[in-house]
Amino acid sequence: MWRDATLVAGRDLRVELRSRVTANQVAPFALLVLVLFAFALDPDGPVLERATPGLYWITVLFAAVLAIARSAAIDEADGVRDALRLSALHPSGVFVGKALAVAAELVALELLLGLGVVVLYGAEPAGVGLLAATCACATVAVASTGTLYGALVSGLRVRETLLPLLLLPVLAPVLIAATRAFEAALVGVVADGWPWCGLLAAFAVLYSVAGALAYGTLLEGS
Amino acid sequence: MTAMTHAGYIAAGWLGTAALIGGYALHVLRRGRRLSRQVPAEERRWS
Amino acid sequence: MTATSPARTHGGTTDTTPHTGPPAAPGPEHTGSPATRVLGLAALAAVALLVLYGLVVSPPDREMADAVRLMYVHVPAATLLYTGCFFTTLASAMWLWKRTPGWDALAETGAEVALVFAVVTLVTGSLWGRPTWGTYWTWDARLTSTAVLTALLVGYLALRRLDLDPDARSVRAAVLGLLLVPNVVVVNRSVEWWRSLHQGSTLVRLDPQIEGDMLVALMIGFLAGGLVFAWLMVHRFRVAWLAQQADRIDLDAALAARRAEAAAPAERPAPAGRPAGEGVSPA
Repeated sequence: MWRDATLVAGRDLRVELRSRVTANQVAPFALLVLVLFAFALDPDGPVLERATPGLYWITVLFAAVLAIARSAAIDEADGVRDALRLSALHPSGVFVGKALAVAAELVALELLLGLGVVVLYGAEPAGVGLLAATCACATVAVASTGTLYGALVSGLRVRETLLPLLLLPVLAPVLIAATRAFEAALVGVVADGWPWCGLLAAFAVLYSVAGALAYGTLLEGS
Repeated sequence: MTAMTHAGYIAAGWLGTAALIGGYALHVLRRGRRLSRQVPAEERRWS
Repeated sequence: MTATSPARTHGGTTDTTPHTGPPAAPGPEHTGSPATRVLGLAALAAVALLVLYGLVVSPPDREMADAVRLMYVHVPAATLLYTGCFFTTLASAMWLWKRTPGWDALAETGAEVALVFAVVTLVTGSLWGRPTWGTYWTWDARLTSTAVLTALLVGYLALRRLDLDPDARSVRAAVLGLLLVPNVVVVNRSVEWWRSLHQGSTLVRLDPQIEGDMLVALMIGFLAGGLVFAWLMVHRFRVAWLAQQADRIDLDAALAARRAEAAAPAERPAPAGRPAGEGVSPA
């Protein structure tokens, strides 16, 4: 299964490298959202600073929806789905591979956005260990959940509108937990943030397992 | 019955609930009748 | 409050068309049955009792005065909301296992009825909040979780309404439905934890000293709510069942029409794109 996963992850990432959609469109969009938040909230007062963790993670989520839609679209091209079914690839491997590819893109986005909030919002990195752990767990959580839900809406004409509607409520706990963890790291007591990181890890495990199990059914049935 | 405090909110809540559930019930019943006309009786397993 | 079909005078004959005379007729043109009539009447009676106890007999609360009367609707509604979600998840799991259409119908039913109760929960909760806390929305754990749950249900029902091959639709809906209860649990836990950091004290919980007539009113609320819920579930399930049958009939009719066309090409213009290869007149 891991071999299959690596194969699929490699394919997805190669597609991204060749088309550069995440780099050329999703990343700028994410930075744009950060800028828009500054327009909407007063950049001179304390609001932006206080809200930084939340704004950061909302931006990550919006960008993730786009990245996941792209990931799902790769398999919607003519015949790809049938090819996947007929190939000897293990469905769980396909799932893990796609999730890994999305996760890689998300990590890049998170680093970029981290730079963004440091520069644009004047955030001061602190509690970096907690920040890194939170990002790692949240990334796996978002990537695995997103890959599963991406498969749920794949091939549908209404994919663009249905995916956020399905995915974002499910990811609400991730938003809550990641924001609290970041708050603890940046402005609060670091020790307070670790339990939230734990919640993220649990969420990540839950959806990784669920996705691995359900992907086969979805590939077959749709 | 002495005057109820917050009577407006209570009325809104109870009547709103009645409207929501009653409206939905009517919707279901109407849809049931419409579909029943399209489906021959053998398919049904009730009454 | 709930409408039942016009009363029929007697139960059925042994065949499936008890309410219209001759067996050849299409049969009862509604989703009612003797069982649902009984259920409906019981529900109406319970609701009447609730109105009596909830609005008249039970006393105003010490702290929230008469606003507590909204709790007699709000709390049962919240419980029934979760019950509906439970049905959807259970039915989704069963469908994935057994693949019989009844489970698919039940999954859809549970979600739609749950959504109705979700709206009731939000509305009554918000109306309770206004006189008690001063605002319509308080971001307390229960209301917030219910709001997220409402979004989950709307998403699920949106997926179900898609114009897809029914089997494909059922598979996707089943996977989504299966995840509904786990999602609800995770959301509830996270939101509760989050809000507990800010509101050291109460979430929207009942006054722990609820007793006497207030407790009775609440219990009647559960009873009335439960009966209404059951009545709605049965009717909505039958509607879902009928919809499946209607789809199948439409599909069969369309297939039959295709076969008829294929069997008699001389009567009709050639199918699009085909030059006159079967002796038909040039298009």
